[in-house]
Amino acid sequence: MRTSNLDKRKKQEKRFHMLCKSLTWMSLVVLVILLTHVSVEGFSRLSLEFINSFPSRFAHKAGLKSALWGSVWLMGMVFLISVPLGVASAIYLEEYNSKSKISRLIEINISNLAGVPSVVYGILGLAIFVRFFGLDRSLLAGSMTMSLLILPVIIIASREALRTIPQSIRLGSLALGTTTWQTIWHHVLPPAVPGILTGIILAMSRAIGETAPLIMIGALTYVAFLPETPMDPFTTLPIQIFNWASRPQHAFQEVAAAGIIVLLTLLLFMNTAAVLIRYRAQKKCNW
Amino acid sequence: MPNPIISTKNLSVFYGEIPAIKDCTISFETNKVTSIIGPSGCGKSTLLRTFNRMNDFIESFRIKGQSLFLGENIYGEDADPVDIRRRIGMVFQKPNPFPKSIYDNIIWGPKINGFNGNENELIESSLKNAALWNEVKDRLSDSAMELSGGQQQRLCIARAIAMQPEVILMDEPASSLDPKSTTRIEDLIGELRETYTIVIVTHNMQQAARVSDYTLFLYEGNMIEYGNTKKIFTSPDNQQTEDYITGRFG
Repeated sequence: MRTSNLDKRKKQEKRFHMLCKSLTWMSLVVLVILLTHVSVEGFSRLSLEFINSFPSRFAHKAGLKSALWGSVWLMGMVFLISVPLGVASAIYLEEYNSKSKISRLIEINISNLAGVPSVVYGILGLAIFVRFFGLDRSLLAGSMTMSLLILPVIIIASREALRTIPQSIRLGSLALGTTTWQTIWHHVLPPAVPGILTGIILAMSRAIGETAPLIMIGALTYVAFLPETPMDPFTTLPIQIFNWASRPQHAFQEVAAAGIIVLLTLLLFMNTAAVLIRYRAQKKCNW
Repeated sequence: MPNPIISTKNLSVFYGEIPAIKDCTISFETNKVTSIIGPSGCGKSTLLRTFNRMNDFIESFRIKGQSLFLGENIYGEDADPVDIRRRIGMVFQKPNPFPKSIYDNIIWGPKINGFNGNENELIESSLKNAALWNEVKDRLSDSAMELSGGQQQRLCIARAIAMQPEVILMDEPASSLDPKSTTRIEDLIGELRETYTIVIVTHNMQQAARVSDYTLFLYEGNMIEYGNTKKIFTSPDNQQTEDYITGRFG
């Protein structure tokens, strides 16, 4: 039996399908245009020499050696600072103290912190790390500021990952006379690690592209040396790109485009890693 | 009760302000099967979980009176929940094997608790005691998640047995299983009573009548009647018990 309005509902279905499809393609087209533009502009400047030379006031000599190494240093230090702090906080909040009122209060605050504009973290970093602790405009001050920025993201992602582990597994383990830590270490963390890692990588991808907080704490824009200790001044890829892009000469626009390509490639690698980790984990774990 | 292994003394349990168990004094005998019956929400599981402190994970949980294991207060200041749970094993309503191999599911608990004997022997005897050995002996390294629901539940029993507990608590162990698997679990309980003290919560009265030596009838957190299973099911002293077991309510 056909209901009277079946034709109408089918048309509706088709219209909605088309709408979703066209909107998806629209954003993809914009992205492709952007990428093509950048590639066309910057491709000619892309070379090993570009990656291996220091910035210069002559566009044809300018390279991003110091910026690239600054970013690598910064990312490494941000990782070392934010991952232990973030994962440990997530474990404490989710596994040890998930029901208490304080924990709920902290949870709300963390969610809010994740939405705070990055420049505010820059001001905080300037006041606390640069001035109060006297770290100056060092890599350490920069990475601590950046860690603050991505900590909420890591904590939230890690908690989500921990929450996907069924409670019955925890109880099953505890009922065998194991401590909470043994239960977490053997049964909760292993299946949650892929989710946590994905969160970490996405947070790091955010950190690598951030400029505002670093400019705020006074990271340099012209650095003609490589950082050797965490106390050295530094610059990073997005700062260097911003610096080039704001110059009037067209030649520097090309250099900036080339810098963007390098940054995007780095990001692409990180995101691919995240996807691969998630994919492998999904294959391995099922309950 | 001549030889009690676990008991309660004026035990009351609250979730927030709501009482779940009201002033319950009872003792369970060693090497017997005791079943706890009663309608949904009468506090069966709550009472069971006071014996291995599995209620600790519920925030609003509060206890008054005593719950005793071999005369020691389970909730006493120097009582260690980890040690108590090692000595009082538990099988849950829904099978909850770890997403690991069959072998690892059984050996993990003993290993964590410092077992350093012959692993293969322990695995074999645990699986044999849980009546699962013949079905899985050729695929011990397969994932436990590939087993059927009934097999998974017997694996969970094997996992509990491997810890060599003194008591096994079972919280409706057959309620999520098909009739055939249920029969197997019931037969298994009959065999396990030789070695272990078993307390089983069930909403299935026929099951209680079939597997247990003693039966406790709980209603709204009150202990209504407790005694020999045969007596409870043939000539209960209490009218409420009779109404419940004859299916007039619950």
